Amino acid sequence: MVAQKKGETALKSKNNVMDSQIMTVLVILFALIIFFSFMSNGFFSQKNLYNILQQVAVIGIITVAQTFVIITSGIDLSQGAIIGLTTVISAMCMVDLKLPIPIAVIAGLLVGIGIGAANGVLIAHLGLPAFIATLGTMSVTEAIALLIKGGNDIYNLPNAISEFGRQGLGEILPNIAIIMIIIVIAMHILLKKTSFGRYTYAVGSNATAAKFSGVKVKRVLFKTYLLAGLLCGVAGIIMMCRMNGGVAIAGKGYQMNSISAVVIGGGSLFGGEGSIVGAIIGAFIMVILSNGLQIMGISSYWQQFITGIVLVSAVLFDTLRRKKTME
Amino acid sequence: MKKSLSLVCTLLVSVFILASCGNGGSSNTQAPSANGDGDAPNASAGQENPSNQDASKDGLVIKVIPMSTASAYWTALRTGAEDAAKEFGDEWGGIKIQFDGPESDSDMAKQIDLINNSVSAGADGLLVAVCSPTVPHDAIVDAVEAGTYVICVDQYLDPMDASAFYGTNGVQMCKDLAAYMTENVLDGTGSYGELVYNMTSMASVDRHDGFVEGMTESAPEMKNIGYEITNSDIAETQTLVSNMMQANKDIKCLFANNDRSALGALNALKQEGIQGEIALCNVDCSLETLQAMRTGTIQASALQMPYNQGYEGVKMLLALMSGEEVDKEGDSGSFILTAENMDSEEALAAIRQYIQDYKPEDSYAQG
Repeated sequence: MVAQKKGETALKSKNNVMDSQIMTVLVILFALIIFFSFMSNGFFSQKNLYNILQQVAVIGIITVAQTFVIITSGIDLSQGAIIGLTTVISAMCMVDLKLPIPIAVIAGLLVGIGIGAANGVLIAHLGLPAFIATLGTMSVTEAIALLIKGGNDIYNLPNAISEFGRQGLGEILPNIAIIMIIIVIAMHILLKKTSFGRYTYAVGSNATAAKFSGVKVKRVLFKTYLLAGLLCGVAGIIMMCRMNGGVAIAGKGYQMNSISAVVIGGGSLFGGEGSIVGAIIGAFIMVILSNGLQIMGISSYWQQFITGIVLVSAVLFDTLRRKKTME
Repeated sequence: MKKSLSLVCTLLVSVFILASCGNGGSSNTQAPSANGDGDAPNASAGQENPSNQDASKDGLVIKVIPMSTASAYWTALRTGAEDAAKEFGDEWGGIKIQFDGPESDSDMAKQIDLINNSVSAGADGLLVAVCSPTVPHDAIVDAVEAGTYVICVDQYLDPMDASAFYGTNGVQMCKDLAAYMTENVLDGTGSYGELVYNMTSMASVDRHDGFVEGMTESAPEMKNIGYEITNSDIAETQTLVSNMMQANKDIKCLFANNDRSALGALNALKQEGIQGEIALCNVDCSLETLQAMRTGTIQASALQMPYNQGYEGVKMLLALMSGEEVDKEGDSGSFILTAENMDSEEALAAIRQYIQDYKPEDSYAQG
């Protein structure tokens, strides 16, 4: 009884920490928006908000995927490679095999599921460290994407693809951002309201304890990577719509953005912590930072510099705040 | 949790409302370049643009968007643009060049973002070296339709829907290179082989076409043994060249259509110990190819002119903004670098587009 109460209090205080973490990143996000609105003319316009939403879609979706993985104290380095292979396979289905768009999309999603499943088997069942396993699948997936078409890009996709990538709801909400928003809401519910979500946190906090409490750790881990793979497949389809083509190297390095976004949003690489809401705000911070600095005319070398500083400061600020709360 | 979630939603909604209100203001900021009548795609900007007057008072912002920012080649593009901005800035109340590109040319989505953001930021003109002939196409069309002039430099856009194109005429450049080789190096007998970095990019195919055309014209007796695709992989090229030489004993000349393919060929010639016995010519340069030119392993390199592309590209944008007509497609020229001319002022200027601060002594091999 006492133990249960203790556990509940701990969970509550954890939730409070998470809430105040989200408040912190929200404050950073709005500070950035206000700063850029005053510093440049073009930033605070409907057209640019549309741009920002378009630019956040791919990163937003893989950030959601990365959140699940990082909560289990894992990491997924294969995200960018999955995006690349998805665009190639899906584009090939449409252009070379002349298959209808829905079939091509399903084929692309299957790529994500396939690589996700491979990650899951390697990590959950064969016990490889996530860093190594996904580093390997990243390399293999990149290679497959390049081998299929000899590194050549695939063009001449049906018009509907690029139209979907560019158009949106009343010039306010791009189609691809709508998909991201649906995913964010669905995954937030999955993480917070279902037993799978609770197990994800449990596995990441203490896998051994979770195991003794009856959580099927391997199964949870496998499902997490499978889900992450599927979401990366969706991101790949969206990338294909944005680029109007299948490009093997399209997503190269994107996993670094999603890892940054999760960490900015309060995720801990040690596992057990993080939230979809925080992470997606983290993704917005990354995109808005890059967009705003570009509009201000800051050179890309400085953009990289400033992004690094913001990443470190956000995490540092949070660490100090937590320390204070503990004391 | 619920509290923060609802807070996020409320704040996002308020941002949208504010953005919609702020929209009127933003179109004003874009006004200096906005035609909004869909006539912009024509290279001839004959139509009166009343807002140009404002632009000339307030100064201009020109965005230079290369394929990637980390290369001396693209820095030369930037320097060219900046020099033109300095030279003509006074007439326009100052011209600001903003240089911004993806970190690597594989990040094509980032280039799309940069083009879109530049239009939102109200840039007056864009100079873009596209990462791919088709991927940024729609974003460029959107920019042109929004009234922003876009000049594509270096790489061709397919279809060519930018305001104009100014870049290397790869066919002519490699025709000139073939002509130089047959007149000065080769005796018109034997065979020649080609090392192309791929057969899908227009630039690579053009170089191949130009070289073959030039050889057929000036050395009709020489046999073309065909091309091998190197994927710009030095080690792969080395193997390909070794095999090529095994299969064709009368090979007299190799043409590498970029610098990395040339480096692979160099390694193969070194390995066989026949440097200088088989003629080698290529497109572009690096310190290694220059050192090979000093030792007589490479006879000629065709260099492109990114500086000219930046300089002339800005001039073309200014011409379009003042309502003048410009050629829809222009040739930025090239320079045939040889052991004889490589220390001339003209050659040094061309080389420094690839290697900043290059000095003639740098290309003498160490030790």
